Amino acid sequence: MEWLIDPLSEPFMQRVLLGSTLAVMTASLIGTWVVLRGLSFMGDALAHGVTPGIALAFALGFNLTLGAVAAAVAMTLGINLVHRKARLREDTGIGLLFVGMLALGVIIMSRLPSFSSSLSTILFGDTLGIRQEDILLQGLAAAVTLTVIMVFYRAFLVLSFNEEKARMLGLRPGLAHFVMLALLTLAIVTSFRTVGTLLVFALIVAPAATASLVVRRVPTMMAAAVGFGFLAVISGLLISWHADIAAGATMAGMSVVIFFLVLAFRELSNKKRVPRIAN
Amino acid sequence: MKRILIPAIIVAVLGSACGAADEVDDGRPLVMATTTILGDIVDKAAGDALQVEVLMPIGADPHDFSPSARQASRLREAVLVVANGVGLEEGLSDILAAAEADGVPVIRIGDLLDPQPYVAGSPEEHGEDNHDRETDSRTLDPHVWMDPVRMSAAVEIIAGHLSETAGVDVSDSAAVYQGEVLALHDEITTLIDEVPVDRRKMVTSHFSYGYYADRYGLEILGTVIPAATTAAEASPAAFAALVDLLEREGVSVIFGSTTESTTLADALAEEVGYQVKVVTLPTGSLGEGGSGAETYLDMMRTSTRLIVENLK
Repeated sequence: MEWLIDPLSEPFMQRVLLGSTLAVMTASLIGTWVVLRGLSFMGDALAHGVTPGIALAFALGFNLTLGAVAAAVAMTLGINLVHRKARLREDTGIGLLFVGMLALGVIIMSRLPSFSSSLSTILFGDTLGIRQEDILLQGLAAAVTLTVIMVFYRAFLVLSFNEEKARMLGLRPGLAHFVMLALLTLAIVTSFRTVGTLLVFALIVAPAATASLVVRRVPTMMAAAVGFGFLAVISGLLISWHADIAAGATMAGMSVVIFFLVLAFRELSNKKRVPRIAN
Repeated sequence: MKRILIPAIIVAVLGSACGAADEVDDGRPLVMATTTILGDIVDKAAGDALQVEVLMPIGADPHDFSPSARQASRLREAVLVVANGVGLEEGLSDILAAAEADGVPVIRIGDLLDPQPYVAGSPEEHGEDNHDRETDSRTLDPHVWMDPVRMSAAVEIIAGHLSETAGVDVSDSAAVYQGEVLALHDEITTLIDEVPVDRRKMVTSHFSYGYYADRYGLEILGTVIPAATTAAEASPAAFAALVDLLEREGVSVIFGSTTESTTLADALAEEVGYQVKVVTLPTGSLGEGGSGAETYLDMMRTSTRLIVENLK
């Protein structure tokens, strides 16, 4: 057990683990709904689409998180506009805004005289730079996400399975959708510090997708997603420690590796069971 | 199924990661340096009194390196962390700041060595942007190690911090090494003298030779990437202006760096109407054995030799 205890006995590593766990908790909770509603493309686009907001906020000396939020709002509005006015499917609008925002981000960055440290921290973020005040923010985000999901649970559930029914039941699917996107944005802007906007989407979608492989009910799915997310964070951190590789990217990568391991395990155990039933 | 699933995953995931060697603590105080160049300088300055470890591997681009969890944790055992600063370690800044908040003394040596704003891009660009650049601390050039005179001052500063924070007196070995660095300065001055004055002009891939050029009377005509970092992108207009500049000045060599790709420099060389060589110089990191850049002093000598050979 030394490989486990040694790294985690350091107060610094405990703080990193705590911060990353809070980040992945926020991400997995909303990620479950992203997976259920098939919003992955939207989520991925939002995670990358915040880049120009951050770059512009940096250039003008504003708060970077506010820049990210502004970009997310602009992007959501743009997607809606394409969907309604151009009468194109929503994924076309998402695709257009996704590449448009990303291109804008790179253009703004190319005009900045120097590509400075705080900006690259946002893009490639580093969980190892987590400070006490970041933990507070991440804990707050996790608490807000959990509370809002509890309040909107019924609305989210009906929206996920039948939008028409939600309207009939007076559950205001439009508002529920908006709240969901707001939570998604919150997860992105609070956890890009852990792995950066380039990889944050892994923590949103992978643990939830893994959970959907093993459980059915939504509350258990959220709990399992948080569990798998924690597994990705701790295994990523330990692998980074022992193999001397970048921590944030290892966590994001592990969340995807765990999905495929669980999938393979499920397939193998299903195969074993089939002949017995046939007998 | 769930009961065996999770342990199975943990075992599968961690099995491969075990058994990586631990750093050997030999009882001497630990000093961490961010770049291989600073690592060598601290090591030479400290003699045998300290254990010196370097965060970045040989050949890494210092602008975008991210450390592992173990390295970040190891920072907290150091009696002193020596970083370049001036925005060089873009991928490390948060980690260094967090370590500092945990009470680890960190010196950003470049910040103490009179860093200068960089002046890059084609000459046409200079007029319009320059005055607001100079007042902006984000646009200071981080490549202070390219000036041996600044680095000899750095040796003194580092030695001072070591005796303060670690209580280790390294003044003898530091003085010897400082002498070697100043001898390097004389050597480079002599070598550059071999280049005719009207040919002391360089085009480099990113803006990494500013201090060197200032010290040895060279002129940086332009840079392929119009920034002091390898992470920026070139615009077509700047690129075209650079092609014109090369043709006008009759530049026949572009100097790249061993820590970055030369794709853009190669493309530039092809655009020019005559034969242009792309020569890679060791600048951002020390090299492997046999590269001629195993130490800071050798790296500077090798760079200078290549510059002189190609400009003469």
